[in-house]
Amino acid sequence: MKGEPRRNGHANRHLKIGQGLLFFFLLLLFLVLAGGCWDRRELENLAVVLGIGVHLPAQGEGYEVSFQIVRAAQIQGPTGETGGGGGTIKPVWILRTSGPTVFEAVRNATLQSSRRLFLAHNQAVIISTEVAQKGIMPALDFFLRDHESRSIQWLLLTPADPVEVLDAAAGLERVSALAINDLIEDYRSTSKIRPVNIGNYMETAMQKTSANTLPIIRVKETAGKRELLMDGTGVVKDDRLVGALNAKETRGLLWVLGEVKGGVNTVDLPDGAKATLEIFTAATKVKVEAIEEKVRVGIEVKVQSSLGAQTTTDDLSTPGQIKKLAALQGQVIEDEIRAALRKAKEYKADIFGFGEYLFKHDFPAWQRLVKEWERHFAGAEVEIKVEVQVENLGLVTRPAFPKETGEK
Amino acid sequence: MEQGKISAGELALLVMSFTIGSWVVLPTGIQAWQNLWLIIFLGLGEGLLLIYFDLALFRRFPGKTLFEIHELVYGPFVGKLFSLCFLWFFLQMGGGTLGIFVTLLKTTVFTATPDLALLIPWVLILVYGCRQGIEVIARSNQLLIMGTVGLVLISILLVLNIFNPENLLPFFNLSFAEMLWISIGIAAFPFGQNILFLMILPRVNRWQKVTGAVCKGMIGAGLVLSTIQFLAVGVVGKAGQILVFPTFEFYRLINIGRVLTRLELIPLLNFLTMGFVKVILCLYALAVGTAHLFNLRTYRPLVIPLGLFLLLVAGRIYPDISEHIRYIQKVQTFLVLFFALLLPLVTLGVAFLRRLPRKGMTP
Amino acid sequence: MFEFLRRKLRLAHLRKKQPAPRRYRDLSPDLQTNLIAIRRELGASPDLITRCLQLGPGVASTGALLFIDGLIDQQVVNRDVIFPLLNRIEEGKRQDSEDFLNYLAQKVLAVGEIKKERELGQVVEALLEGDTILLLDGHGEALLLATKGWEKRAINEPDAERIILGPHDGFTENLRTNTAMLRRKITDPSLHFEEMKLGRRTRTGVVIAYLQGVANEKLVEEVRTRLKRVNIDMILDANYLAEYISDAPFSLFPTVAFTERPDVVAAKLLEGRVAIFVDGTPVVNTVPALFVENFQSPDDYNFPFYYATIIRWFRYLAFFLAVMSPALFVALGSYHQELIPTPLLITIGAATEGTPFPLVVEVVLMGAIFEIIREAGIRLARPVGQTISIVGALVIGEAVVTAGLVGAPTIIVVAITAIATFIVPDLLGPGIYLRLIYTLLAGVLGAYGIMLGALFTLLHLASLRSFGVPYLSPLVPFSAGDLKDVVVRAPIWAMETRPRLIGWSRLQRQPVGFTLAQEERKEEKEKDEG
Repeated sequence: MKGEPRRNGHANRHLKIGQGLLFFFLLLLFLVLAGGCWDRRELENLAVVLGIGVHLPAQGEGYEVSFQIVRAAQIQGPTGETGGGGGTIKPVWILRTSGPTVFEAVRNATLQSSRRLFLAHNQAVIISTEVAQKGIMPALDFFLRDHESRSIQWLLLTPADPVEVLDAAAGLERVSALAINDLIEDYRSTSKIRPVNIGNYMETAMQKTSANTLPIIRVKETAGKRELLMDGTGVVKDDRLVGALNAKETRGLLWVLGEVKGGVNTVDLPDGAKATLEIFTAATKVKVEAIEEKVRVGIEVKVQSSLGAQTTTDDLSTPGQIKKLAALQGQVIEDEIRAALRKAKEYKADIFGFGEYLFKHDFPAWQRLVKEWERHFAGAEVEIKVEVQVENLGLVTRPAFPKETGEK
Repeated sequence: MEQGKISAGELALLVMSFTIGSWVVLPTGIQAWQNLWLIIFLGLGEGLLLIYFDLALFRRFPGKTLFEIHELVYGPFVGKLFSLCFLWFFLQMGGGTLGIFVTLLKTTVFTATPDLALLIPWVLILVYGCRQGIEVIARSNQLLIMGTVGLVLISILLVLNIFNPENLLPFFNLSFAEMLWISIGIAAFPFGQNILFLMILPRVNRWQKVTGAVCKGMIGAGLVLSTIQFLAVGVVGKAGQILVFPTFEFYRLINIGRVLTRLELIPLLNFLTMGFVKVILCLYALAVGTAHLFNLRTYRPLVIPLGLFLLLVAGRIYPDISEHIRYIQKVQTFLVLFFALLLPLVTLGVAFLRRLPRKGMTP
Repeated sequence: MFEFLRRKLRLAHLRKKQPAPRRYRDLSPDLQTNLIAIRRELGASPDLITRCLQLGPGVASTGALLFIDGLIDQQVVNRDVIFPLLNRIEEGKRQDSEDFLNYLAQKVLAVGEIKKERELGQVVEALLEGDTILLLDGHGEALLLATKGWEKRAINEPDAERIILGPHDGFTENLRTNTAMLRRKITDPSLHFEEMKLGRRTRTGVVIAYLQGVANEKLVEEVRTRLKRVNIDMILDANYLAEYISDAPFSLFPTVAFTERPDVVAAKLLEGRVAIFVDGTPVVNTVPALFVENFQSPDDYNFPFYYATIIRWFRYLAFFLAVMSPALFVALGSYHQELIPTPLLITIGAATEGTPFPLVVEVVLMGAIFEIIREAGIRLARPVGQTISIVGALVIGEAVVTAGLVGAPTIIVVAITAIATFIVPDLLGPGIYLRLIYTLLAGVLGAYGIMLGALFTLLHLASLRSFGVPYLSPLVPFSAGDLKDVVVRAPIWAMETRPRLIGWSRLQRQPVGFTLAQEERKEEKEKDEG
């Protein structure tokens, strides 16, 4: 092209644009004639998978993979009408396949499903303890490698066959995998589970000294229906399941990781009654030092809480009582942390990432200790400082009964 | 030959896009993953030095393309031989870049689509754009680079809830020699590839401003790349080391209330435009260079056959992705240094010895 | 096909020097000969009126008035031409003397503009333009009396460019009325008009208007040369010219702007642009026309700037939606379902369950039906048009979904597109094409296809120029100062300069006025306090 349009070159300019058009038509023509649409997948031909369970087969090698596929037409629309015929058909379809690798098992699903399995919207990968004991990464590799599956799908552990979890009643939701998602997202109101997605899992797995944790989900029979229940945390060391933490220990883990976002602590009062305090904000500071061969950990937790319920008839609203309450809650929190530490040391699994802290903040020390980190971790000296401030009483000061305490 | 002129500002933006080009997809120095965002600055410094040497050629022969300089310095025959080498270099650079992006598309989105279906329309548009001349390329690039910078700025907001600054630690856990070696790799690719601009500089309307513009463009690109790398490390953490396309993983992890997820398509398309600019400049340099070799009046008829050639090269240049990664991590550094450091230095030296340019040679 | 077009263009180029206007004879002194000659030129047209008269009372001379019925003002001819000719001529004038015609023109005829003409061709032309011709026996010259007058449409608000606030007058079909309206807006001697007649048979008056000293001299010259090259037998509307003089006749994008509003033309002239008026149409071309102009509405300047700014942003958004939303819908729905939030995906999935066609077919089909309904609504008489829209919207939209032929989301997307389309009326044409092309590309290659299409569009737009000005300016080449009327609509007092690439010959349009006013106020305040 000439930079300046030539004054007398009007006709030439026509030609130039004409060529542009020609190119574009060529392009369109090529695409349409070439038959196009190689990667097209129409919505109505997709089987949207929302949950995947990975299990070991009863005998033989490989994996048994179960899918929870949503029947879109059976999901109630916002207008209230169900598409298709009647609500008797379950809104999900459970499919089970097997194969030597997870990938092949997924592909084998096409032998049973009329529609193509679409994994991009999968909410959770649920692996059975058997798989976890054998090694998680081999089962997970497909989910990390596949371009369709996403890194933010939750990773959960279940003691039984995952298909039970997928097939369980979904409570208020139509699809249990969506229920799982909501159960996990709600962790901040209890802080008794630790959500992990496969991206997190991979990241922690790559840290030399750290151990992974996975939330445990199980099925519980309630009124004849099988409902979901989140219950504790599994500890994964060197890619293998080595043990589990209960709810209290999980809370302790979350304290150290600084991931407590809410939840309650119940304290025992001297008269045998109890009071429950709600955690509003929590902040944790962890400091790991390595002096020679000795690892010292300082954990500092600061909590603001509020009185949520009391069973005693005493007036707990006085400044003195509040201070006492705070001290009691501090004690409970420290217990939680100690419990978690005890378990972790027992498994020799650095689920708190103390080693990683050293790697990040004191690289030379890490280099020194990394070889025998298990030993150093087990021998680590932990100092815990909890500072609780009860800021709030709720809407009443003292209980309405007894009528008059006569104090004052 | 072509008459279009671009301004120094437009040149700077071209340099920026060209440099961002394909590095953002398949970065070098992945072994220093955690510190890469800092090492980029070291590489940028070395790259600036390198390009400053290369630009010394242009300052000595203002208004001449690299190929014209070759012929002035070595005489027509040997000069053409040198130019031919560079043509090969540009060809493999353009073909390689095209290849990277097609691989990327095939791996991440269009797994079932044949290579050619992705390549042919792209090459058609490349050819169309290239025939419009450097002016149009530079102007289009202005909008494209705005899009990229905007995207990077928006990414900062999007990753706020998953960004973990701890991931950036520790700084400099590598030995100095390792870091130096990695930074040299970065100085070569992407910064050293800017040697290609010696074919385009004569099209800048004021040649005195050229050096500054190129440096500004490289610094801008360094900032963009470093920011992206910074975000990637902070979000992805160590896992980035084992990813084929680490830059995109952090977009995959973006999760704003489970509504904005799986956004990797947007940066993918965006970086595709950067790759587009890089390839179109390669094609342009190829066409202008070939036209010069054959003493043609205009480069435009060459664009279509060269585009086809590029397409063939892109399809064949690397048999598989692991070969490609190996090439980028190991071989490319030497190749680029040979073309961007050794040959220009030799040319400069010969020009110095022969006391070129003589009077009457410069315009 | 392209070879054919090319050849055509080349031939058009060659043909330009061809048919010179026919040579006419001069008038003869004999009245009858002249009358016969003129009648022969016009055929036996019944609207050619020949009024023979005896001049009087002073002299006895035979003459004839010729005019075209309907083109002249009958009252003027009767009162100011025929009556004086019959009654007002003084005694003693020698009717055969050379001076007689001058005498008539100066003393007798009460008409504003009178010309003397010797050549038959010119006489006929004047006749066809609405002049009355006075021929006298024994004179080889005719008097052309300007008695133009015909039925005119009143000044109305243009339908195509509605505004809420601001002047509501629009141009009419009459060239003189239009130029006069512009004069009323710009009372400045530098407003220059240049007239030429174009169209071999229509002989349409074309006027170039510009502000001397503000418009770039080269630009005016370029407009002149391009107009002079126009060689066509008819010009019935401004678009006839626009297609001839546009820089990129094959481009989808308009490189010549149209308007029916005098205030718009005035504003554009004051920015340094050139306007081209065409007789017989209310539409006026302005050049250079830039891409961003399509998004500017006169209302932007009639409302407060903050309101105008956000409305303009919505206009950009609307254009984006109009062009992109079907394509994005197809790309998301057929290729990139992972980008749709899960609950939404399930809802959409439920809504499209069982539809037989691929999404791209659905969208293109419904888009085509929409365009047909729209066209029917425009072409038909207004009440019928509304019925059509209702039938189209209700029956087709509703029935198609109920029958399960097309998913409801498709209808929603097409409806959004349809509404968004009308917000930027100037780009209606490109919009249709771009929408279709992007949708097809999205149907074949998903978002990658859209990106390729967008890249092509960008390259194409960047290569366009309108009368030497880059079409995408001030975006590219980037000119920060000019973004004041693109990204935002800056306050009027802040728009101190004209667009740099158009009005560079006189950039400053006003002193930095508002700050001065503020300073004054501050000084006053200080005075008050002090």
